[in-house]
Amino acid sequence: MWKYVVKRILQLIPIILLVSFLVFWLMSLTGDPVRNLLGDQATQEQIEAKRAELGLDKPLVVRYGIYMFDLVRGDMGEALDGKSVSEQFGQRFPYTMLLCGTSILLTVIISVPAGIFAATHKDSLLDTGISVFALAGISVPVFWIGMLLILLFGVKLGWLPTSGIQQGLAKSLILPTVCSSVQCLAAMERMTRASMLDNLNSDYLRTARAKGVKEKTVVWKHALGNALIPIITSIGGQISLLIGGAVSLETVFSWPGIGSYVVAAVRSGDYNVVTGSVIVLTVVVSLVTVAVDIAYAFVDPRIKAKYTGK
Amino acid sequence: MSKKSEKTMATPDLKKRTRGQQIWHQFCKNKGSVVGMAMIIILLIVGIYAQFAYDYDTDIIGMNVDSILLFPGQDGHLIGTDHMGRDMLARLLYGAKYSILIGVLATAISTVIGVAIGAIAAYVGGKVETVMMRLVEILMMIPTVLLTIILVAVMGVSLNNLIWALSLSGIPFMARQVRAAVLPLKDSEFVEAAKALGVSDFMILMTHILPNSLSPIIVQATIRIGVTIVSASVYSFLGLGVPSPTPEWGAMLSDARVNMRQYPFLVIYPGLAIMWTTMGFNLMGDGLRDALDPKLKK
Repeated sequence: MWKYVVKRILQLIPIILLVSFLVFWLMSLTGDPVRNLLGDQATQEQIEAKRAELGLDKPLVVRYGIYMFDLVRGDMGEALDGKSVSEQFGQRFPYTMLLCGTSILLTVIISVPAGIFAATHKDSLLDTGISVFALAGISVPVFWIGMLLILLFGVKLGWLPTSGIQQGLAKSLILPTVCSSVQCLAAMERMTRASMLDNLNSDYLRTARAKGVKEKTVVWKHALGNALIPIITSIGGQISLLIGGAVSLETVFSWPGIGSYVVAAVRSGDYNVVTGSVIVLTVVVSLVTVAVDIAYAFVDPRIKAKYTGK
Repeated sequence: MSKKSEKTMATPDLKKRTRGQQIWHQFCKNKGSVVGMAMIIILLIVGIYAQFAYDYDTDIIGMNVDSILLFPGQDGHLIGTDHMGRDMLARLLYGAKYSILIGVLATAISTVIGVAIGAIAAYVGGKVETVMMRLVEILMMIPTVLLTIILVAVMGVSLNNLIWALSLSGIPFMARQVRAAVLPLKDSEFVEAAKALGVSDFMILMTHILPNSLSPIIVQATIRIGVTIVSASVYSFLGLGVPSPTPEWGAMLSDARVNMRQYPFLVIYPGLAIMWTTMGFNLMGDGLRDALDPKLKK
């Protein structure tokens, strides 16, 4: 089993190197930062000198190597305003992760019971209702839901803070969390419903029912136990979606996380910030994905058997 | 079952239905898909109407000092006016063009490239497949929103560049879907027969494999249009998509942010327009899936 864990983690290294090189290369196409720094009046010699000073005269691969070496040691370079990117990133990163964490929690709390209910009451009015709601949820941009929530709970009712974290972290977290989980709710609910239906109609549960096992035990113990495996795996897939959603949500709610940081940086052409943030976020997403895969392997006896050779 | 087949035998016209008619019949049986199609047709009609009814320079992007921020119903402005005094309804209807254009074009481009990559990878197999699909997987590791943002940063902010960025970031998803659709066909008997007859690989792909895997591709593309329209509005909202005076719905929402607390209608209607369009395409996609690809039916 440990062989599998080590193998999955080792597989990640070339992927991370390739992804980060791709990002680094793409961002190097955005233009010459020296020309932006010095302006149009700079002479050729000044440009050459600045380039040598910043190390930009070296080939792309060498610059990438230096960049990654610094990154691994926690140095992501400087932003346009002279501040250290790693420091800013370090301050903002926990807020984005907190938002992702609470969103996943809320998604699971709502969508799993809703999916189970929809599966056990297939084709009922409520099942259809949940489906329509799920469809509506994926048909609107999540930042718009954010704006509507701000209008309702912030402006009209005045119950909750709508911007930043000045009025207490817990209270400020509520609206962004609700909003952020809307984008995963639909997918998770459909997933739970399909997975539960698969199990509820399976032969082993027909046998269980024939033996006189109570329907309650059939649903909550037997079916749910097996249906949970694909549900848990799909949580891993949601993290990428959540981080993507965070980009627009953090802007709407002025949330001090990485999403709003990256958007502001793209707008002002601060490409050191964009390169570093995207690489680190991608690494985080892939680590979570692999961690969930490994957890899955521990839970699912079929994958376990494949690697222990039993 | 036997009753049904007897009936089919007794009425020969039923059997004469072409594949197209069968699909249409199946499509219409699904209420949701008909509603979705109706929503899209209505949108197309009002969208085309708006192109002729309003003048871009005066009605859509021009400033009108007398009618700044009127509430819905005031002075004959059905859903109010924005901070430049422009009629919201005119801008919304005119803006339908952009959302549909972005959704359809970006999806078409990523579908064509995704089909090429996915089909070749699945058909050729071996090392080519491994390398191509690994590259696709690597692209998928970067969260889509971040990938699109990087592409926008590289190319610059404009309508055309947004379409390209959305197309490129949609390729990995389409390539995987196409590969999954082509794989089971690769070893089928009719492909073997064509090979035995000496048909070239290119012709086998174009005339035998692709037509047979078209259904899931069309279904995925239709649903993808909805997803693309939603994400396009996100980038315009963030100021990384269609620039502001253009009445793209996401850009309108971005403009509305400043005044939203006093004038909530500025926020509500563009969002509803996005929802209408995306729901239309999603419903239609669901119906198409049931009609074209019975295997996928839940």
